[in-house]
Amino acid sequence: MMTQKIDSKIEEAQNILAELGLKKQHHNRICALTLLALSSIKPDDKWQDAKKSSQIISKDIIEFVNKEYLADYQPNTRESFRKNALKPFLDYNIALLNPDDPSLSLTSSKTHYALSDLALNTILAYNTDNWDFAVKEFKLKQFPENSIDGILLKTININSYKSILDDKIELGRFNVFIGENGSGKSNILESLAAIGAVKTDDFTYDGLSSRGVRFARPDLMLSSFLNAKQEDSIKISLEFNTEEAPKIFESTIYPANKNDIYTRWVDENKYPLEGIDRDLIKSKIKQIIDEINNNTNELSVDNVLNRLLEPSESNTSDSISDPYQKMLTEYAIFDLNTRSLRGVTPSESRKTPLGLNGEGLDLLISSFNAYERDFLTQCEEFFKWLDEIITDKDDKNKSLGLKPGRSTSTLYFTDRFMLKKNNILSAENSNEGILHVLFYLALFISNKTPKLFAIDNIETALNPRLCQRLVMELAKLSELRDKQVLITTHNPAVLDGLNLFDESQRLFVVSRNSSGHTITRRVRFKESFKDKPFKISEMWMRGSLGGVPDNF
Amino acid sequence: MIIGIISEGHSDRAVIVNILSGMTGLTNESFIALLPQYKYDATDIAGGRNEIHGGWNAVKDECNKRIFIDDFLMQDIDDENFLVIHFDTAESAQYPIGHINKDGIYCSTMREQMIILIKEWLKEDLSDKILHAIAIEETEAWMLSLNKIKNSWKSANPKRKLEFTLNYKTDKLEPSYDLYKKLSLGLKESYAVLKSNQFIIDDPSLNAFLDEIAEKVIPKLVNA
Repeated sequence: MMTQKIDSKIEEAQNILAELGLKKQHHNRICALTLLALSSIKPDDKWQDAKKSSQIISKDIIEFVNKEYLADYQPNTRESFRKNALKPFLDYNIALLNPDDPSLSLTSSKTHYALSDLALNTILAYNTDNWDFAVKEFKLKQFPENSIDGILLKTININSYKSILDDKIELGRFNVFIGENGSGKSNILESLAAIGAVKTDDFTYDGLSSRGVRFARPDLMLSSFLNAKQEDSIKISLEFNTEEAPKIFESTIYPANKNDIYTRWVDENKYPLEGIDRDLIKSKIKQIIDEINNNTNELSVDNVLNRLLEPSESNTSDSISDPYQKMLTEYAIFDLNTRSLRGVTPSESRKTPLGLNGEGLDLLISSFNAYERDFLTQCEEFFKWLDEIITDKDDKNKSLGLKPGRSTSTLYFTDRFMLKKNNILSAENSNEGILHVLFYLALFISNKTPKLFAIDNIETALNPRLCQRLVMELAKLSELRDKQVLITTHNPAVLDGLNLFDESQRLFVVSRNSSGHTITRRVRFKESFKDKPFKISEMWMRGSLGGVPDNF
Repeated sequence: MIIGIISEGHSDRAVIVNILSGMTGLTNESFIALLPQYKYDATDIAGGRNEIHGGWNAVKDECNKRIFIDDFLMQDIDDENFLVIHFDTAESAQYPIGHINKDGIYCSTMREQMIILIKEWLKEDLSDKILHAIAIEETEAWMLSLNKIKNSWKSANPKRKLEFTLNYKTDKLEPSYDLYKKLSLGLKESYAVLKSNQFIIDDPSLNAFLDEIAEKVIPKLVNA
């Protein structure tokens, strides 16, 4: 009878560990017993009796399991408890090390462990109706970096950026843009990168390229239309929602030297003349006068102006602890290509952790915490053949001949239909669809990827039905992981993944008006048409939404 | 404001868009071309189907089936969306409209009959939302009026007459969206300017279309 109770309790502890996200190798008996000891749960206790106390391995934990669970662990098995159970418990924030005296060294005889409050509160809910919720909360709070702030960019006003002369867009969390080729969809995505770049004084060829922007000559970056005077600056203003008053960012961006193709662009709102340190201005003017007197440099008016407006050292080190600024500076436009995902082309993008074209996917996935991993396993349902995703950190599979080409990716997949001894595919050999899907999932799941980003042509390499399913999943993930995204597509199936009755998911049609200006219009449906007879994809294909060529 | 357009041909839509743009100030992005369009794929077309799904029958079919119409009306565009339904009456003899004498009230009677017919096909009175571009006998007749031809609606073949008027001698006038957009540019004017043109006022179906736009659309723009 007692043995039954003991086995049953150990089994429950193993279940708990599995649900809390520990890997299979940590669902063993020693881990289960350690959890029981740390929770002070005896075979007859309910989980609601769990309490935390600081425990030393040999004195408390081993003694408890030997006494209450009729085990026979000797003091010299201490290291097994530490390595096999307590180390993963610390990694997963189930236990705390030396909570009563954090200054103790690991080798101290007083080294002790205790359940974390988060783990205790979760365990208390085991076998109750709250269990699922508690586990979800645990996983969200388990790693502080998984926390979310809920800030969203609500409005963009764009003036004089490429084809956009004057446009205002009210964004949701998950935004999809459709329109004819050349309608200006990518310019909308770029305008956000432009303001992100200029806020860190990075509006240069390199700064923009690294964010996915097509850099051009100053007179081509500014809107240029027949019979209209060209503005001399790009104006972009953004409004973020907050719990308090709306936060507004405004930028008036102009080229320091209009005649220089590679000129640095500056933000009038960031470096207004009146805001510059007078002593700094004085020293700069003195330096310029000296140069003129000594004839050491030929200085044009633009050149002088450029020099005066150069940001000082102190101005360039803008703190990005400000969440709004962080969102803008990290913003980038992802545009995948399969060769980068496979790791067979040298990394072109210096963006980390994920490159703009798909670089770095293997490293990011290998660094996922348990919470992120959980989300990723959903990927397995997208592909019938997929058994498991493997990140081979040490690249051991390469020596087994699984990567004969030049791929640097350490990502592998096992195929459930292939012979077990012969079923591992490297990123170099796998189908391109899974790499694209994994990339998007990682981008949305990870706490290291930007909070605000864009994806150009999300449909690349994906089957239409997969597009629909993926978009549904990504829309859900954007909510759960607090991401905000702007997506362009030419594939109607993408639209079928959107729920346009959900205010956070929005569809925009981008077109050029009679003068060629890019204009954006949001597509909404009347509440009374909730049972609309057609898919949105069909409506788009029929031309009913606009966003298709109408002259043929 | 968004205006959806169901027309027999792309070239007809070009004329309609010019009129609407001139009177309302709306530009390209405010117009959605609903019909005509490719209904069939290249495989169907190779099997003998018409490449473009348009013309009288297509517009009538659409009024009955309401695929594009409902697609359009279910979009919530601040309740200020309108739908243009265009018909050339040249082929009206095939439809259940009794004989109408070509007298002084021929045009207005024909237009009224067509509007009744459209309402029947739609099985619903959507007249608040619909702008009736009923051209008697063809949209080309409106372009003749623009080119100072009197009583263009009486012409048996307005398209031939337009060819002649515009000096299309060797090349035939091949209707297309871009060409008709250019040829009807004179209709892209304000209501006041259009109404000061006697040839246009004397074209009853064109005049009625202008009045309908002035009555239904312009007040919404003022209120917007």
